Amino acid sequence: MHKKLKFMFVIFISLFAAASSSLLTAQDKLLDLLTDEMNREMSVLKSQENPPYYMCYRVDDVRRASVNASFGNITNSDESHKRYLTAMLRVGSNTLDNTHEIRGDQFGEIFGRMPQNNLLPIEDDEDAIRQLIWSVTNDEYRTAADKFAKVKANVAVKVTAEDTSADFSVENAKVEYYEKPLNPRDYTFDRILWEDKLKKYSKILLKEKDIYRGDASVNFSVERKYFISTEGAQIVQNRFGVRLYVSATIKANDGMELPLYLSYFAYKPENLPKDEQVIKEVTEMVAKLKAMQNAPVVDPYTGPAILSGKAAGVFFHEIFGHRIEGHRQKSEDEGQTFKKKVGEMVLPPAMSIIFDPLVKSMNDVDLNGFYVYDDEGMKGMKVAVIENGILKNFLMSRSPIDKFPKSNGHGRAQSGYKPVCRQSNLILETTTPLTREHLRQKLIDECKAQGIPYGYLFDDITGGFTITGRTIPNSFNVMPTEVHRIYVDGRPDELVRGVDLVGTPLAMFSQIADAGNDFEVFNGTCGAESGGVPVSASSPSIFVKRIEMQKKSKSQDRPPILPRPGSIPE
Amino acid sequence: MKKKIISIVIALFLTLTLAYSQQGTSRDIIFKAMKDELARNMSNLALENLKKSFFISYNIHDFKVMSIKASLGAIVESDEKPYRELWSRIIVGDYGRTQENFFDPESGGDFVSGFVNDRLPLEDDYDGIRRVIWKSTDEMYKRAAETYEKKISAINQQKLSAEDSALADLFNAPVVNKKLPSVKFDFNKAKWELAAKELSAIFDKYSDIYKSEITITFIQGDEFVVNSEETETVYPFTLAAVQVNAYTQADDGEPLFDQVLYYEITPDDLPKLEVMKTDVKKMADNLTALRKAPSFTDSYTGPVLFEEQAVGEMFSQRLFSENEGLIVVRKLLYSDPKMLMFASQMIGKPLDDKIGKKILSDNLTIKSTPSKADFEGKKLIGSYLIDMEGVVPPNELILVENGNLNTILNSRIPTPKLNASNGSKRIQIQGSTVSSDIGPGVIDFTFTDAVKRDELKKKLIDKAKEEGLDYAIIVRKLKSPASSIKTKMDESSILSFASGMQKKGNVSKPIAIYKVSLTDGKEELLRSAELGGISLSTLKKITAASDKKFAYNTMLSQGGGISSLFSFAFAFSGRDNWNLIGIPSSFIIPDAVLIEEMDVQKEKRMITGKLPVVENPVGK
Repeated sequence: MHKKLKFMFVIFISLFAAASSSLLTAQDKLLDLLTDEMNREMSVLKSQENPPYYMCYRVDDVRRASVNASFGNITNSDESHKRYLTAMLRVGSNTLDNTHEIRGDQFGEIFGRMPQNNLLPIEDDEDAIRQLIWSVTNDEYRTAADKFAKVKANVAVKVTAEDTSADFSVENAKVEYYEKPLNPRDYTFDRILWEDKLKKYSKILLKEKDIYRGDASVNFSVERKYFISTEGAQIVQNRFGVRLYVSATIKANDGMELPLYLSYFAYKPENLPKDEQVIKEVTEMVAKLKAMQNAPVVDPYTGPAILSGKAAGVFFHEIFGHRIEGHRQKSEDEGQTFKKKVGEMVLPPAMSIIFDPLVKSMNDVDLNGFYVYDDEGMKGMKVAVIENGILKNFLMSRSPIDKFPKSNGHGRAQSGYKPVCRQSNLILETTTPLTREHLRQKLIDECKAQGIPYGYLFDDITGGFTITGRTIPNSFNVMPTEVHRIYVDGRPDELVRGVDLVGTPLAMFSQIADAGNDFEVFNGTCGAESGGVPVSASSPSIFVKRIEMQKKSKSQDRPPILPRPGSIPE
Repeated sequence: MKKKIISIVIALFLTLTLAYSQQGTSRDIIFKAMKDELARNMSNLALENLKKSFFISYNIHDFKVMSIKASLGAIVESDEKPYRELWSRIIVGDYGRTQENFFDPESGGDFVSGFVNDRLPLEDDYDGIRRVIWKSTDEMYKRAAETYEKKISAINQQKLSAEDSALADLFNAPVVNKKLPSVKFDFNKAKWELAAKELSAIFDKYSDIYKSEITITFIQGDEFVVNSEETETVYPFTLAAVQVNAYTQADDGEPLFDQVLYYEITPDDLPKLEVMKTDVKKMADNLTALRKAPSFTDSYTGPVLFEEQAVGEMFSQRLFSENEGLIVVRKLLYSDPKMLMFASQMIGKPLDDKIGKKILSDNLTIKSTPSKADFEGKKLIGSYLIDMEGVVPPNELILVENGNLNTILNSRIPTPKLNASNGSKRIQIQGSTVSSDIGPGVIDFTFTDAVKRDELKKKLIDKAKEEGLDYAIIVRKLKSPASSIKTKMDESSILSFASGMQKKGNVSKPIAIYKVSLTDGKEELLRSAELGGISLSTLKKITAASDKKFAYNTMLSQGGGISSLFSFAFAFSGRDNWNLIGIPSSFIIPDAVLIEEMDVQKEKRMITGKLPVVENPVGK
């Protein structure tokens, strides 16, 4: 009797599981096809000499609308629908598999990161979808098996690696998560309306005769992202967002290109700023460009500075965020700046940095780094990387490192690329926020203490880059677009140009002193070895006791020789 | 009072001018913007201590493009959009010496220009178009003026031959004022999406075919050319392409391809859907048969009969592709001798040094007849009346007469043996952009003493017997480089680039090649065979040709494998992909030619992929 009950219980569980699975997939034929084909492939491949122990498929179904304008004219306006398939197979075991770094083979590593470019049909046609999955799986299996043989040989001939962690974390990865398909009526994009808007915005850039590049663009995308794996993950989630971008460039007489831009992100087009706000900000940008054209060029400097919230966000993303991406602590080509700093104070005790992909918006600003599950099927987690100034954690994908064996849902990639640890929504918090005036006074006091007649305020930054490797200096370069000189003697602030913010991360971190009570968000796309992924960085202004500025490399070309044709609008 | 009337007249004049600029036809507005900006730049664009530009030309490609891709009955992508871009050419110096024909690694030189276009407003906005021209001209002029000085310095540092020193840098060309009407047709995307689905669904039944794909691309538009010599032209450019490609592997892993390619001027010129379906089915059957065909393991030297498509591919690839044969490309001057390694890649082996000499068999005459619009009812996609430099090509140009080389296709760039452009700078489609290169339009091959096609097979067998061979060879289809399907083994176009470098003198792999029995003429399909290099001496051995001619439309790629790098870049750039590459060309050729002696050998493959482990899910 007891045995019978147990049997019935098993049947009940099985039936329940089957029912819930079919309930899930009945709504989505593509999910069914992906699952069936994966099971079919695995059932045959597992009998091979080097069978895969893990397989996953990602499909990104992307509908995109984009409009570009220049000086009041539309130069592009279109819509597209594409489905990208990315397949990954792991051969070997989770402790050593084909993804293991082959030390000394940098070319092979770069080549191995080349993206797949597999377009699935946009219609749910069984044969067409299955054949492409089959063909891609076969190709990826061959590549994985070949690479695994090379990995084994490389491990045998090289000295023991510093970090002997496994190649793939053991997780509870059997997840079913299903978001209903979006109702197209709720996610419409009125291209004609946006053509008109962009014409209006970019036409304002004609008002300054020396602006020689004046563009506006809007990109709206609605994605349905599928992830399935042989570990039983079945995840379907939606992602949508729209980005409006207005940019203009003027040239100083010495040839220096001076670009400024305005960037807005929202989940839905109707949540982007109203015309009045955009027009006002574009108009201000035009005036600022003119002022920058005549601004003095700055000499290299070292001394105190304030970074606005937006500038600080980009700054932390570049110099800190990329260095706490887990896989960089493992690769023996990487600088591993923070690897041995866990438990140490790296920022003032009042400051914390968290990465939280589950936050959708902050202070009414939508955040571009939002997601529920990452591109390895792991639930995105809030990660306090620095807590009260102390380094506590790293951003982790399913590639474990010493003492950090699990993913925290930051394995991310662009369609076609293999995921690595990437940032999500970076948020800098402080328990002792200061007013802008207070920060400014601190800057002046510090200048006086250092015997320097002025400090700098970095109001905006266009982006930057950082070198995290070992072979060349482990430095960063952040490119400010709007910099003001703050005089100690009370003279008005002065707009300046021609500098980059440079340095090495540890030296710079030790100089960060205070943060403000303001808060700004930078939404953008971050590019690295797993492609471009949407991110955000939110931060208050920060006061740094000593920064280093170097002269910006500049175009040697003169400004346009002839005046720009066409009239100047009123 | 009089003053007031004058004011009114001026105001009225200004109003009318404005009204004209804003309300003229699309063509009027584009021309006016091009000409006004050209005049302003010619007069005023100058940098102190540097030469002014002496020649400016602008090309505007004003197109609409539709591109559909389907596989196994399902749409993969489908797009239709306008495309309007500017290509500016700013030349400093004089006709004798310009900054062109020079490679300097810093300025990119001739490798870069022509591939970089500027996006124009899609609206007919006079000021908007002028602004793009203004910015492009300014940037190009600064680069040109600086490059010119570098080139003069390089000339002073290098010992040029007397011939190279005397060679001018730009040919004069007659002023052309020709405005040809647009050709309009309805794209009817829904209809062609359905056609793409139906055609691609044919492969549903073939489990032995591993991959198949159909692309349909329509281009319709006008090409505008304006230059400072007062040439002012506009002419229509249209193309309708249906490309079907399929891939599989033989049991020993050999990759096998087949294709059905239709290139026409408009969609109406394409075969009826039912005809295309029959062709595609036949191709799928052939490819399936090819898998089971015996592998060629011999090394053959003897007579080879080329028939049908293979004749067109053999002649076009050997004589008009990759900057080789009857296309002349100027040898560049290099600022740094180390850059010479590029030279062998970019410059093929043009035959201009053989002008006046016998290069082919006595019985062969080759003419360029670019204005010829059709042949026996078949429309010719290579037909054109004005080239991309605004030069009108002669209606008939004899390239080879009875085997002797008379002249060679060129552009306005002088080369040692030619003294004027023959208007062969052709439009070239490059992934999702438009560029130009020297290439053929319509090429007519005539053989004297042509014979009935049936007799050629007999001649082939007789010749093989005479040579004491065991069998003879017929080639009916060569893989056309115009279109391909991506596979893992060749997806890295870096490999294609490498193979492009190797390819000089060779033709592509046969798809349909047969071993012919000398006793009963029976044919046996082969695979793994490749044709030996087709040198000029091989082409001198064309001893007979069929008296029946046909027109073969194809897309020819130039640039020594660079185009495959471009297509690779496009695949990842996120730009649209029109799935089309090359110069539209037409060849009027005999439907069979007999080469008395050439080599056929077993294909040498660098890599052979294993067969799929899992069974193809399709066709069961």
